Amino acid sequence: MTILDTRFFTAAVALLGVSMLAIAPAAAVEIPGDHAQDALIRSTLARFNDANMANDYSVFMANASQQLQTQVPLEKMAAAFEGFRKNHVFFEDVVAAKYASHEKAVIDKDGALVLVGAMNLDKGDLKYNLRFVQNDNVWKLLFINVDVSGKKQN
Amino acid sequence: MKSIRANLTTHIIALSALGIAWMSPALATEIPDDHARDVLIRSTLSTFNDANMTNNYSVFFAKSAKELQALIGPEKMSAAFEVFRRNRGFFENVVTAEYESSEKPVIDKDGGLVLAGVLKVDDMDVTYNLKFLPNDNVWKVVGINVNVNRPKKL
Repeated sequence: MTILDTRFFTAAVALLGVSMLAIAPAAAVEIPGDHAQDALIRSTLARFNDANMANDYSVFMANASQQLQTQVPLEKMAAAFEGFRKNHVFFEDVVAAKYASHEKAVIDKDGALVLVGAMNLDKGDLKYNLRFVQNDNVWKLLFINVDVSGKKQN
Repeated sequence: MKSIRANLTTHIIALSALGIAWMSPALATEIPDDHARDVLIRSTLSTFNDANMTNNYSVFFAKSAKELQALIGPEKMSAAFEVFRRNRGFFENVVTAEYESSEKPVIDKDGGLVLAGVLKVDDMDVTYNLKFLPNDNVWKVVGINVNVNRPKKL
């Protein structure tokens, strides 16, 4: 029996740079602590996975930033992530997965919090690139890029 | 400053004993290991909390057991859990919370997996009692009882 490392799927939903005018300036926001970053990452990825599993992005969208909600309609989001559903690339265990690596959190020039890293799932690896903006002093999702690779058994 | 415990919310949705005649017998199912139970608990509570935060139970409903879906729709769920929204009994950080205690998992006489315990979420104790049934060899939630206790400042 051979174990092959196979890339399953990657997809992203993002706002364009020109849409970022409403974001607070970098100096006005602080990077959350490690625990808060961890909670942001896991809850966002769990919610994203829920949406993919249920093919229902309404809850995911309701939790996203106003900016993302304005720019990306539900149908477009469902279409963008269709590959996850088609290939059954689900990762419910992300709530308890160990980090393989992560980059230092940064506030970018637009005032957005950028969290990037990788996690070891039960059946593969997940890379995430998440970007958040503050809406009413709460970090809300603006951009998501998830890349899942898995081990296929032959 | 003293703190007392104030019972914020308690609610349950469950099948009655009469409705579970088609369940697998206890002997047909095995108790999942620690990691799998942790994933079940956190992912279920995370999805449940998302539903409460958004007053949108469609994803929680879609992920639940078909036995629960047959008994209660998203609208009824919304009514049943209204108290969480009214009291803002939200616990998004359940994905990273520490366990305060947990009971030994059991497969009950109906073949349901019962997971109960307490998670410390920020300043709240989230007491959970979850029951799952196998649907196509995957544990799906069929009963949920969550009680949020928040310290009250005097």
